[in-house]
Amino acid sequence: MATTKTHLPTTLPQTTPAPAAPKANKQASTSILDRGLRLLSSVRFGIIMLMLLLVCCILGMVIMQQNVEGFRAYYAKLTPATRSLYESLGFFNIYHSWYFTVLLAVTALNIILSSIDRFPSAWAYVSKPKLTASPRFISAQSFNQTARQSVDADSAAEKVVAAWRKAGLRAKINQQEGRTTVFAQRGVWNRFGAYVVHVALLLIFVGGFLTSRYGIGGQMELVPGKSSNAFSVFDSSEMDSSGPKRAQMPFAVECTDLQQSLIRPEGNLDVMNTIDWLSYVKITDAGKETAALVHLNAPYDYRGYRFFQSSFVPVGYARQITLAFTPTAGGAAREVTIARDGATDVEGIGRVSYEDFYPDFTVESGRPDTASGEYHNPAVKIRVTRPDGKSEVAIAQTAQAAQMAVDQADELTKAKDELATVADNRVTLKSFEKVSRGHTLTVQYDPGRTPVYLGFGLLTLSLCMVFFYSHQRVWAVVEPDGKHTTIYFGGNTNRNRPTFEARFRSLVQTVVGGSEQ
Amino acid sequence: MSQAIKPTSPVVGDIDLSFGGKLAGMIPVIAPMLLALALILSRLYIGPKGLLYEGALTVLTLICYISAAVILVTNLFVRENVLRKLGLWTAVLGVGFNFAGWMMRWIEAGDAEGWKEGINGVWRYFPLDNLYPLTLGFCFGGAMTTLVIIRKEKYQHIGALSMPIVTVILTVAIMLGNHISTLPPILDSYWRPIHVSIATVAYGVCLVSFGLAVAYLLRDGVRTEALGIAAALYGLLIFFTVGRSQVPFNMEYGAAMMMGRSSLPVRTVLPGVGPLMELTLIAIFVALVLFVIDWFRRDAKINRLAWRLFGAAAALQAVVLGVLFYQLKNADNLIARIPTSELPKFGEWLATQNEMQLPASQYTTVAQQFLQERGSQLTVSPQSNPIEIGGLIGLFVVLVLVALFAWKRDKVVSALPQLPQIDGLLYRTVGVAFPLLSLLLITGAVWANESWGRYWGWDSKEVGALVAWMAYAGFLHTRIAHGWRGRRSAYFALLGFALVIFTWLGVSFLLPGLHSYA
Repeated sequence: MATTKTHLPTTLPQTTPAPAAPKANKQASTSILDRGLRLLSSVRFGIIMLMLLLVCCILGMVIMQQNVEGFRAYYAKLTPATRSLYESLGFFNIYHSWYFTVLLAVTALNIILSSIDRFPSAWAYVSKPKLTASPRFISAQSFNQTARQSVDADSAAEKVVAAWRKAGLRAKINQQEGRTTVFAQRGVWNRFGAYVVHVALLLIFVGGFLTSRYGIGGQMELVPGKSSNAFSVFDSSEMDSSGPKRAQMPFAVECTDLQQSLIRPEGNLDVMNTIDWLSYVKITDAGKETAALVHLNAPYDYRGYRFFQSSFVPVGYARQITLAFTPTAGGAAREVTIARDGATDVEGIGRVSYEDFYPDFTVESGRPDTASGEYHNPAVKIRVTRPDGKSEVAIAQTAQAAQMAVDQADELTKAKDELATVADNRVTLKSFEKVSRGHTLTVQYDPGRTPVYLGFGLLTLSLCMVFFYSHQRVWAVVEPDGKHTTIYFGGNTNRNRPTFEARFRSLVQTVVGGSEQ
Repeated sequence: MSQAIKPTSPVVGDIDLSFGGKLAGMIPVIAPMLLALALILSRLYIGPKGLLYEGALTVLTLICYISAAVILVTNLFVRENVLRKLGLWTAVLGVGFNFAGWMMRWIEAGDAEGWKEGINGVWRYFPLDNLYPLTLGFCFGGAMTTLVIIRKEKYQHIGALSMPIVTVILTVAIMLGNHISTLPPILDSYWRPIHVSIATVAYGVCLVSFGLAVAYLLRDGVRTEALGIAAALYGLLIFFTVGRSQVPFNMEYGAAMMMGRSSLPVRTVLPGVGPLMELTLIAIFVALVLFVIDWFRRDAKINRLAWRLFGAAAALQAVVLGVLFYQLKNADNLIARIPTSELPKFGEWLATQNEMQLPASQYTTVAQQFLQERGSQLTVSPQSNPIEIGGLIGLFVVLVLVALFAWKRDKVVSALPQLPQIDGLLYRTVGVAFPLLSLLLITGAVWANESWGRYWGWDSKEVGALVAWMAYAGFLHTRIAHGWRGRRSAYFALLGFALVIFTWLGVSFLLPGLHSYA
């Protein structure tokens, strides 16, 4: 790199001492390498790479990608010629095509090389600050002003130092060729903003690479009481028909409870009627148990795995039920509340367990079933175990449905109603809390997240740096002028000129006051 | 980015840097915020009365923005200080109404859902729930950035380039319709206000940098015919795509039929609109051909003829819009005007909607059946095809502006600031837009990772934002690449804004993906 003499306008080329030039016999080969490196590290080349990436991205937006829902229909509508053209050019999966990867890699290389190429000139601001100046140099600065003072040069310089120190600048006096220069600067590290931005981008690239290479993403079904240590991996393409793949986790996840909080509790499980889905899980890892909650927009992290609430089974269920037992012989009704898959003892009846829920209850060839996923006719299957160990099954419907059984005595309603009596009690479903039959979690194992987030943080930080700070430099060249002294003030900044202009004026002002300009 | 540009003359020369002076200069920026605050507080205390509705305020905004655009453009030709002040303060008033209306939607969304308990209303009802409030925010961002710039007298004329664009965008917003629907639960995250707010400001700043890039090219002496050619190409693009491309060869323009608030994929021909569009299209096309001939031959006669045709196209486009809106309100006999070629596709759509498996031959029958049964419920309105109508209005604005510019070129050019000043300002606006676009990408990625479990999925909207970011990155790097400054640099700013517009609208309406809601 150092042997290349860059064609780019570097501000302080003298600060990068070039090593001895290569010997003549090696010149031919070096010059090819030289030219190659020069091209790779040039900003123009970077812009061209950026534009090529841009064109690929636009192609990827306009041509539907194979992992997008509805790709099959889109693909079917294309003419065979278009299909084979796009396929051979990799347009259906352009972001994962070899040339896109090459473009990204070359761009990354360009960022690295051009940063290395230009770093010395930025470093020179730190290693070799411009401590001395001449009136000619001052007149070339963006902002300058000249003032005459009726004191000798030394005290004038001291005065500048004192005034600038007061203004919060660490000013230094330097002598050269009989001239005294006071120099101060702030925010020199601002010169590295672009490098930090580039490092951040590279970090994001690295993270992205790690994610695509080593990351695993998939889905896991959750139904209370069920435990699993595996999840099905996402298919990379809609056209891929190799069937679902499974991935193992080093721990087991058991669902303990599901909850769906609704906007209108009387409404159904529709997405647009939902505030949140909550999945309570228990993680068993080498005998250690950890309880956790995963809900919408609040993922849960465990040993590098991340669990997200992703979707739900749109079939109605009940998180808990309240049953009313009315003795058939007459008497007051007793109410009990049972959680999903739970059981409770009811005095005089026995142990009542909640076995199943039918949102749209019907009887299919003598067996209880549900006609749909909607809560059209909710009913619960319970099992009552008497103290003597005998057990029987009953179906509890709502009081409304039970009334209907009395009103219209057709076969089906009768069959349904017969199931509603247990241990000399009529059982009805008083109320219940709606929840879906099962939830689906997205599982993500992503070793690239840390570098990506680090890159994001760094990028944000460097952007703030660019926004709020700048490298500001001021000089005051003090020259004796007979009995008086002339001070040449000059200053420049790498950005945010309006603010610096105000600052420069006030810095001059503090030294010369309002007078003697 | 650390490389500073060194303009040949100071960017800032004659501004008052004292605190009082600074504050006085900020009044046009502070005033609209105070107005908006007063309106919002009134709504909170008085309730929804009088003009204290989002809809009413947005219409007021449109009136102010149109007036401001017209006044500022006139000010290019008639250099009266009264006009300048009037334009500035009309825009100030508009920004106040714009911001108040936008924030009023916050209250209205909460009221619509009844401020449910257990819901964090601050995040949930934040008025960035779909494309409509995003567009209100976009206009606010653009108009506010314009105010920040044109409050300084020497930049006053930049407003003449940015306010017309803001006006067209707000018109699109109004045609999108301000219906508030329940927020999909996945979007109920605090990342949404953060992410989308950044988008509104970033897009607004990009809009102004586009205006500045145009100003730069005008000042730099780009041939007027080049603008004519660009406008004509835009016109061809519009007429070859609107109304299912039936304008050029069938002289028909159809509007999508609406059922309630949703538009259906079936179009009814609006009488008279198609032939008028065809006329405009021919005028534009012939003007384009003449411009191209003139480009190489530099023939004064051809040039004059081309510009006359161009002016005629602008006038015709005004008639097209007039008739189009008249027909959207008053056209009758809609069902009978549906071309038979529309039926099979509509039938197929109906079949898919109802999950019916039908042979293709049945599609027409299904469509006819539906139209017979439900035809009376179908209507057309300006909301039928908001983007197409936005494009048509945009074309009118472009034609008028280019025609005006061609007519009094020297006057306009002399009104604009010096090249280094425009260049410096352009660099500064992109210097603000670029970090904002980066933050947009970052917050979007973090939100996606927190909600969906991936920070980057090559989704169309993500790629759109990335592509716009790349264009602006290209712009910033032209500053340090040898020989790329000046005009070539300005082209990057044009490209960047074109991509922002594509990301804002194109992705939502043309491409499938996760961001299809906004």
